[in-house]
Amino acid sequence: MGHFAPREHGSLAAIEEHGDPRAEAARKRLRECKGQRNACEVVREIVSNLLGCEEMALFEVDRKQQKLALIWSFGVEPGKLHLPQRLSDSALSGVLGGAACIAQVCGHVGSAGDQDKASAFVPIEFGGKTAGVLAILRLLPQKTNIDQMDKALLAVISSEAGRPLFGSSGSGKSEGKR
Amino acid sequence: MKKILLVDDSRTTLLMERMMLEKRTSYQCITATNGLEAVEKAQVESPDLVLMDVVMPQMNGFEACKKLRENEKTREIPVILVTTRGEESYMEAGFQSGCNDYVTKPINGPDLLKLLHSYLSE
Repeated sequence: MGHFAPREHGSLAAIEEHGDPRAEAARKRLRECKGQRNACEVVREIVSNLLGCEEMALFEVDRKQQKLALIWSFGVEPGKLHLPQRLSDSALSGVLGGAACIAQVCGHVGSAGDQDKASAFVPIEFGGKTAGVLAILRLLPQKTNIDQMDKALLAVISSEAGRPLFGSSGSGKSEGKR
Repeated sequence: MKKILLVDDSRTTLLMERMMLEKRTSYQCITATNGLEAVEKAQVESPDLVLMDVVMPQMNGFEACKKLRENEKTREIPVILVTTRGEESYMEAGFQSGCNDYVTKPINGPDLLKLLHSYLSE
């Protein structure tokens, strides 16, 4: 968990080139998406089935790249999500964003420790900038950490999910908020 | 050539399983998207193994597994259930439905391939 430095992108590419079927399947499915609602469902399938997390939230980043707005969540009450007041540069860089955002984004009322933290904070790229972020919250009990293969999978979401989520056909608020 | 019936209501999971098996094995893959379709396909296609999700619409994996065990034509086919739920009570329910093995998502590719080979090797 935590910040994922840009220099590690090379190793992620290497993993993809070796043909991780999870990353390949995720890329193919995201490229087939039509519109934001469909894209949210495909992102849910990828994160739930291929990564191992059934609590997630998707945020749109404002034009100044400073604030987040919730557009969709799954497996978590929107009211329990704590958005960072202001985004740091590191939050929007690399495959995983800043550790501060990972710690801030979700607060389960009345609980403490790691349950309060997101497991990953994935910038979603579109049009040459970070258009959104996907907060991966509590992992399934059998999933103990996010490894290099998982980061390769998240890199696919980071680079491929932006078009269907925030492109012209997918603009506007999600109809699939849960 | 051994034939595997992949069953999941998630197109993403089916695609990933199919890519993994077609790239790394010589098994033939056929698919179904719910338990009912799986039971029907198993009777027609006689697969050598069924790899099946538990939580699905129309008929879940537990019920489908029981149906497969009730039918003379399909009762000997090995069934591996796959699910995000790893609790002991859930696994117990899986074995009571008649499955041979139970694996949790996210699927670990090498581990799953070893398991499949253990059922499908001559």
